Amino acid sequence: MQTAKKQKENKNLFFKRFSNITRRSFRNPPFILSIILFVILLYLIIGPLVSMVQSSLTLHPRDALFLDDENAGDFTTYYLVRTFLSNMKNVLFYKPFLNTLIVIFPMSAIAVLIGGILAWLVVRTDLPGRRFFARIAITPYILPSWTLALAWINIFKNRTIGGSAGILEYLGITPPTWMSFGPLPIIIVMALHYYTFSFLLIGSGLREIDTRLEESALVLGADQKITIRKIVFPLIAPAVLSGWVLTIARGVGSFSAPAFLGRPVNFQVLSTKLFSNLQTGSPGIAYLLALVMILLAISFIYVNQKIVGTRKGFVTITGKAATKNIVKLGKATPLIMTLVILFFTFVVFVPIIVLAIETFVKVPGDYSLSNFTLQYWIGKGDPHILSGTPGVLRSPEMWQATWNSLKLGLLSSFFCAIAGLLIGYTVVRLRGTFLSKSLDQVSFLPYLIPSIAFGAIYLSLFAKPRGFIPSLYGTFALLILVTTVKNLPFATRAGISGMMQLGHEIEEAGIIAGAGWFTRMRRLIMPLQKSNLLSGILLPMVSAMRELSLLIILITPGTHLLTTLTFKYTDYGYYSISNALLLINIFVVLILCAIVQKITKSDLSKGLGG
Amino acid sequence: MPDIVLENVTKSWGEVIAVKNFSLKIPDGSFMCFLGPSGCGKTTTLRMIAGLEEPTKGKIYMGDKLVYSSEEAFSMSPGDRDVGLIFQSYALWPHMTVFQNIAFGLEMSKVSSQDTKKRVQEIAKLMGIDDLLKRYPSELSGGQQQRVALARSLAPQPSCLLMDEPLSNLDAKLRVDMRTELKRIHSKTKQTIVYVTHDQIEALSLGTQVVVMNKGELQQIDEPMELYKNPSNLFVAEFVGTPRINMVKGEICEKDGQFGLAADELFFPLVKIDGVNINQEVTLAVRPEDIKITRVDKKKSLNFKIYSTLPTGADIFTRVYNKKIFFTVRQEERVIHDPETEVGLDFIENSLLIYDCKTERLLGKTSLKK
Repeated sequence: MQTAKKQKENKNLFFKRFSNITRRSFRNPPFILSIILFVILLYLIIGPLVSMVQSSLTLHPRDALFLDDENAGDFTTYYLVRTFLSNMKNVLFYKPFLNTLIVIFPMSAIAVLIGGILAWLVVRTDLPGRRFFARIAITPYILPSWTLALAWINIFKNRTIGGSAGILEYLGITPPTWMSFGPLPIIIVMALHYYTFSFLLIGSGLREIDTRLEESALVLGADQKITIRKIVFPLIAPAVLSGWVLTIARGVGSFSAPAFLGRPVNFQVLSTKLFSNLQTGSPGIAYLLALVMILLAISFIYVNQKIVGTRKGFVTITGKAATKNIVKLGKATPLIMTLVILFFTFVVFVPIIVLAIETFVKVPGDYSLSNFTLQYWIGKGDPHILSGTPGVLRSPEMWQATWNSLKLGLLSSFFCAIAGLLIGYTVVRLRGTFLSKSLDQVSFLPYLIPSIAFGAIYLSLFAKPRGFIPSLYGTFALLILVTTVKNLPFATRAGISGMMQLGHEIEEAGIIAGAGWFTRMRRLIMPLQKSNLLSGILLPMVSAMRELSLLIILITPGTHLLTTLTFKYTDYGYYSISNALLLINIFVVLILCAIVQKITKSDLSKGLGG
Repeated sequence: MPDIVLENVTKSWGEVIAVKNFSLKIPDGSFMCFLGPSGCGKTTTLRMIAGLEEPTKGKIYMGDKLVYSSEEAFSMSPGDRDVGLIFQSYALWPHMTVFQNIAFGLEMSKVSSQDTKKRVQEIAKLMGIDDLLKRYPSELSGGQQQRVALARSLAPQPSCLLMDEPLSNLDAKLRVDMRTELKRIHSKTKQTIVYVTHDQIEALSLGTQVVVMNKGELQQIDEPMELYKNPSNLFVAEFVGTPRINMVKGEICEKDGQFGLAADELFFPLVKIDGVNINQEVTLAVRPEDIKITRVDKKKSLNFKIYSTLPTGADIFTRVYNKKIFFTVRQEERVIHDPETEVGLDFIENSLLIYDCKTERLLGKTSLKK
């Protein structure tokens, strides 16, 4: 009797607890929200990775035709063997792998050197016009990365590998082929694009060093040179290292420069090899190469975290925005000034001018005035010129692509901002829990996956219907999805730091006042995160609009963007058209950047470099 | 307005125990101060009452209303608990005007906009901020922000007002002014206030009751003066009072037939009290104002030398020593002694607190045997 009563009581307590817990978790949704977000991220980030591994171990129907004893869809080591062990291994893997290393090491060294010197000049010297230079220094990052590659081709190409003459050859100097195409130009062109990472990281590192640390050294009798060597450099070392590693990680996945400058002389790196394998219908091998690239990038970042992680204390010093120790350049000013101006002239202005000239030249390789024309801008299609391709401004294809690019930039950055806000919110609210850490780390993962590999895994995942999700291949939604996910790391970093600054109490004051979760989000959190949200939009927007490697695999004729269209015409060898498209692309990005920066009063340099 | 009752409340984060088996009744209308060093669990306790933190174990009642029970996994949402909370940082919403800040809580409890307006005006007038209603928090001084925070939490007329170190961001002068006002508001409204502070002067001058906490445990709960006069253990004795209470560690013994405390070659003859036995290790504690400096009496052994003298304006604090034993004395006569001057000491009747060294608990009060 007694025990029966007790059992009943226990049962009642159980139901009471259950209903109370359920009610509470809905009242305080970060927990539920984080689970939903985590599941979505698993599906969109971890899922593709798994699917890619699976795909590289499953026999593709086309290859099944060549193999007698295996059927399509079977588990196979065929691709593994073929890529890493067969007599094709050099062509398929080792040569491109080696070439990748040949490119990224010198490239990243040059990039860090340029970025570091520029950062130091801008932050720590009395160089006239420092602010102007600081703004100009990040333009190579805003421009599509192959701007320089195309300009390089226009200047340095020779007729040895076919096609028309470049500007130099026209002027009577024939550059050797190793200068026109291949590793050297790739290294230079990539370094001039990626130095922006080091520039921003080292720049903010230099800005954050507590001046009192240097002053202490100066007071103790060290001169400026010793202070720089013994105090400033060790403090800035983690930033330098991070800049270097980020450049390498990005370089591994870089596609456009090697594609434009390497493929004409059959200089293949992992990314271009991956692309050609996908195009020739060997996804198994392509995915294996993608996995190698991911491992390469992750291992560099891991090493960086191991080294910098223990010394992190250095970078997190929050110096007061006091007056910095400015190095007086003195007599060296005119010389340094000239060098800096020359540098930016050749990196930013000359390429654009060269590209522009090329669009006005009727017969490529002839730069005499009589050969100038507006055909490639406003000409009607003429069967004798570029197989009837009309001038870009008359081409519906171009207008469609511009519209697509704009749509992609705006939509994906909008979704990015929302995702960043929600992930930032839950990560900060659940701080210290396993879920928070997992969300934080998984949302950063896309950063480590090289763009071209990321595009490839999305192709593998969404090429066929999966569960209730229809096949997305060929749809614009897929482009938006992949761009959003790829840019998530930037957005979540911005979201997390924004929420950290906001602190708990602002929301808790709302809880006490009796405001529900949606009211708190709408009335308290969102308005305060507005500027953060808007400036978080800028970076994904710019990246989306100059993105090629991520999207090139996913593009179908209906969904062409300005970037992919440029690539298509470069592939045809129609440089005049692709240059014109590129100029339009640059123009659109710069205008949009200016508008967003004006509205949000934000600065692109803030969120960059992650 | 109801009493607030905490029943065996424990809060831990994994291994770390913030609040340990804490039981307390906060009577209706009291001004209850939680006092303790940082990390003692006082803010956590306050947040558990507010509902922002959930106890690991225990129950919390407001009147006869259960607001938290770990057993039933029940937790009433903070908005329904009818409390106001003032944060150390004020947590004013920077994107809302003062008016909007104060009105928000009323809006949430569905008060009509007309009544809201009236109520905001009324409370703003009470707090002396009625001319600031259109401003944004960033346009206010620290003291003004403080008043807005107070007005915001008072506006919905909560049955209990919780404050988490609300004055610690103000400068010294403003802090004193605001204390006066808080005390006035309390005596006018008879609102139950739970007030967290690490400043013992604040706790003693504001509270009708003071709860001293250390390492998540309740040390003593008493009226302010009682707390000061009879600290129930060494921690409370040491934590409450500036300058700090004087302490001498020693052993109870009998010397030439006289009961007393032997400490470092000195012997304090004491009136014998219950519970203090020969050979017991004890700490003698005495407040600086309970000591008097006298002329040297060669017949007595308790002779000291002046170490230094610190005039603070209203008081003169003099430090005296004999070998390794130091005393701080609040002098009554306005004399500044030269260092090394020889003086005698006298202790006010029944002012010597004796604590057991092991349990650190108060054994009793006694006087010097003359």
